[in-house]
Amino acid sequence: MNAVAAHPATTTGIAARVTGLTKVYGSGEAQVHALAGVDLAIEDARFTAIMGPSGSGKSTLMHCIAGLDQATSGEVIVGDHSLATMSDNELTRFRRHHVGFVFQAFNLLPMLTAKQNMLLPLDLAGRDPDWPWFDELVDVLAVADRLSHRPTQLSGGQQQRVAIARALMSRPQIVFADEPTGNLDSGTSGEVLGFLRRSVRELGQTTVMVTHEPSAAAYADRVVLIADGKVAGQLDDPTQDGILNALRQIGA
Amino acid sequence: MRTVILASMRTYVRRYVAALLAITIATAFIVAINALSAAARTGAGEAVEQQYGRADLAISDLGDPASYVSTARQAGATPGIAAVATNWEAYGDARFPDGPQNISIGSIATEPDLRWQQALKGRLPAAPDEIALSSKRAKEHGVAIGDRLTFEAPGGDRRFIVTGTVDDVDGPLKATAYLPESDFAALGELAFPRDIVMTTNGDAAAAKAALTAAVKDGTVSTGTAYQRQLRLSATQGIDVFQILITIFAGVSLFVGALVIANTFTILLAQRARDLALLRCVGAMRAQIARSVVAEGVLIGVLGSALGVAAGYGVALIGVAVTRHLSPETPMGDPSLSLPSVAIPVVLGVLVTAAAAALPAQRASAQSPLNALHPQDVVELRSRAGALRLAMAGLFLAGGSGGLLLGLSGSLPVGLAGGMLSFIGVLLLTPVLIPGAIRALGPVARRFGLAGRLAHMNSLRNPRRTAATSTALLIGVTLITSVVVGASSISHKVNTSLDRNHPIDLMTTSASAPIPGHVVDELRDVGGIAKVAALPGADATVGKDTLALVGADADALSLVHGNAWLHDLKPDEIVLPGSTDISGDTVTVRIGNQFRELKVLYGAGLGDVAVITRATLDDLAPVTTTRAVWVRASDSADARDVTTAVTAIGRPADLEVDGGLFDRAYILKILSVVLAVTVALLAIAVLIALIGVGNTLSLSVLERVRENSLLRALGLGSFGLRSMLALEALLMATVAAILGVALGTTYAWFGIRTATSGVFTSAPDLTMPWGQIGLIFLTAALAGLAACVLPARRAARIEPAAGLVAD
Repeated sequence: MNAVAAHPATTTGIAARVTGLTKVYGSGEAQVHALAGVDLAIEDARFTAIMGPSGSGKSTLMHCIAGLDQATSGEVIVGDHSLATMSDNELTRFRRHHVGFVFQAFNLLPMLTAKQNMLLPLDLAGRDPDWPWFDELVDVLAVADRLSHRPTQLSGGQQQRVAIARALMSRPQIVFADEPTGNLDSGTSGEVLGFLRRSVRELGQTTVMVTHEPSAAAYADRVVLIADGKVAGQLDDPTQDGILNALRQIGA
Repeated sequence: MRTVILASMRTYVRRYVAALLAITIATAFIVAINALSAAARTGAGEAVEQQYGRADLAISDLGDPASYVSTARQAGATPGIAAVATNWEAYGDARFPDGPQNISIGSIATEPDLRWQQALKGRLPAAPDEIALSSKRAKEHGVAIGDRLTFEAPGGDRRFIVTGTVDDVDGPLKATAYLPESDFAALGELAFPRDIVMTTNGDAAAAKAALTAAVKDGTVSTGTAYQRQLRLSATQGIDVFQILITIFAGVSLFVGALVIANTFTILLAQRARDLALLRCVGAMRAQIARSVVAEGVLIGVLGSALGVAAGYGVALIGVAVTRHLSPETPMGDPSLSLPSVAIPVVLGVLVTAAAAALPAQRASAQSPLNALHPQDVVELRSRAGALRLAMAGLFLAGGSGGLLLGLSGSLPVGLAGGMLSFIGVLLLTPVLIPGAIRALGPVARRFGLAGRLAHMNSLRNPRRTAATSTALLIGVTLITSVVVGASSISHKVNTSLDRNHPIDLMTTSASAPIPGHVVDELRDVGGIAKVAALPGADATVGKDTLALVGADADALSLVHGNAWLHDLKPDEIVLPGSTDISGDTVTVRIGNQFRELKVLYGAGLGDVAVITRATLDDLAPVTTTRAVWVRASDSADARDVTTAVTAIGRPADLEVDGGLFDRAYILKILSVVLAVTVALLAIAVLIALIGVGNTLSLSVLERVRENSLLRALGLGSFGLRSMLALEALLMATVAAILGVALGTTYAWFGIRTATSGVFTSAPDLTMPWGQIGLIFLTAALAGLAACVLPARRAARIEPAAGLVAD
């Protein structure tokens, strides 16, 4: 597939690597260690879920890998980019070219149409869209008849599908999804997760999803469990029961 | 990025209205002034053309009238000159059917080729006892063709027959009445020549050379050059006026900039999530800042374009109104030149872009994580705060310097200082306003839970509170400075009028008694509120002989102001300023009686000394009426009353004097000047008020989610409404207090700067408390009104719906 060709896997098959990552908020008495030394490798062309109870640091971990937040110490390498020393503008450029996002809510700018939202990152980067790729995404995500609608005219599932299309549009190295089904009913959730998995399987898109729902994590190829700012375990080809078991073990 | 800018402007178009209006009004103001001034300039040029268009050559700047007469004769004898006319003017008193008038008289050229006047009705005068009148003045004074008119000439009164009226345009040669050129010699010292105009036999250049050789002094110029010179001096007044109004336009542009900056601050706070999402998906800080400034530029372009159209419309209306109300004022068609359009448009765009730049800078500092956690307010304190304070300090220091320098009489320097220092104050508002609100805490807590919540709400986000209050602060400061300035100046003028003209009108007699019928006739005059006849006698005051009059409480009650004169003591004497008597006391003697009296000096009391009635009765066994004081009623027409009193006093050979006419005239000018100033600043106030409504309602809308939380927690919809209302009131009160204090300070500087050199002592502040109360009330009402709609909306939203609202 051309997506795979665009991002040849590194020799180790690793898309991102995190070493000794810590993140400290506040100072003195009020100090909070959101991340207390995380080591993690995200495999290329695979669907990874990061799970953990509230306050475990899973979102902070994702923000640090995605270049939304700077870690206090440690190393984050995505592809061949080391994020630790990047300036704000370099991080922005990094996000623009190498990362795609799907958030829980408020993914789309309310004043733009679905199509304009999809093309937004390319627009910001001043790049011309790859129209065959656009057509393919529109087709795979089934948003062809919604392109000229504004977000308020779209259902929750449709909004998330447009958001996924936007995330994939710039062929990023990694797509990050932060609780992408948090606002959806179970039927629509399954549909959106199915699309995420298809993008991994069929388009070779490395995807990292943060979630606290075992049913959602079960769609992933691999589940990374986070507790108290540390990696507490990993599961390959998880089932919902397996995930629940693992969660019980770490006391969540 | 262009897609985003255009789409967000389309979506938020209603919220940009205030900014758009602000820039439109300010631009329209400048364009209208320029177009109207251009119309007035064209008009002035046309008037000069109408009066001097026939002249091929002109001689001016000669010395005395005699040299004009001899030069005119010389010019007539110069080869190549076809016709010569001298333009004369004369000033003097004439008696119209409705009373005496000071009039100007212009000359009608003997040579028909150089005659610019045309008879509108009747015909131009031909014989020595004929005169033509300006049609407007003829109508004003009820003069008809065939009426007789008396002019007080040095050799005795001259009587004229009115033969016609002349349509008068307000050019250099405009006069009340017109006499043939040949008639001016008879007016003696009242007549002055202005210039000499000539036509030639075709070769103007040759005639000019011959004339220059023949004429010793004076300036010989061609008709075209002379017209240009006259046009320049005619438009000088327009230029000064234009500059003056442009200063006010500057003030409204400045207020516009503040309103725009404020609108953008609030608007961007609302769009924080949009901007953060943009940052997430790869928008650089600079891109965000640029896009906001681009929005500013677009609004600036649109607003200025609307402003140009509106300004031209206003100018068209202005010219039409002027032509209708004052046909003698020369007005051409309003025209727009490239600079007169380009400058306000460029200014408008620059001001809007600059006003958007600071909020844009702040918005672009938005962390991308805000898109994920929009409810967390990330406060950027320390550095930004310190920078802000430093900037505020700089602006305040520079501004105060400008204000102080301006006190020496330079209005532009003072105004610039005022603006700079005001920016300094506005930069301080995030500190000042929460501080003031904190001080009002005990008052707010009296209103129970809603009051406590309102108080805490307004303290929680200092920048939002400051932004909301700022709009009101701008408005209140402006209005207060205008109101306080106007009342201080009019108080000063009234005080000085009272000092110099304590009595409206008086008839005095230096020697003989005033006949009783005069007093009776005066009482019958319409428009007179009070007449007091003062008894008096001749007395020796020091070494002089003076008429002494005694004033009782009744007479003193018709004196204007002047507390010391109202409360004249029995051991005091008020001497006219013209006496040479000096010293603190003076001996007053009538017959054998004498008294040592304390000396006061008073202006405007005629050539008599005033003592109390009681003292006079002690000194003089026999008294006669020596002065009659008249107080006109407030609504009376000063001219009518003065004319009527003069008509009674003059035949009886009495001195008629008094400040009624001067007082009415000065007060009228003052009220016109104040009305114009207030009207001009009203535009700036209007812009500020638009800002008030905008920001207050936006800040309520901004908090749908937290208001819903309060509702979900059990705050009733009435409670929510009272909370929002109290919050608005709290901010309005604080803004009003600060605004009144600031406005009063600016008024103090303003009146001192504007009247520098006008009065002998600078005017003090006079606070119009009633009007200031009204400002407070309006500010409170504006705050309430602006929150009524959003509060209703906030209260109507279902708590559950509001909690998930974006």
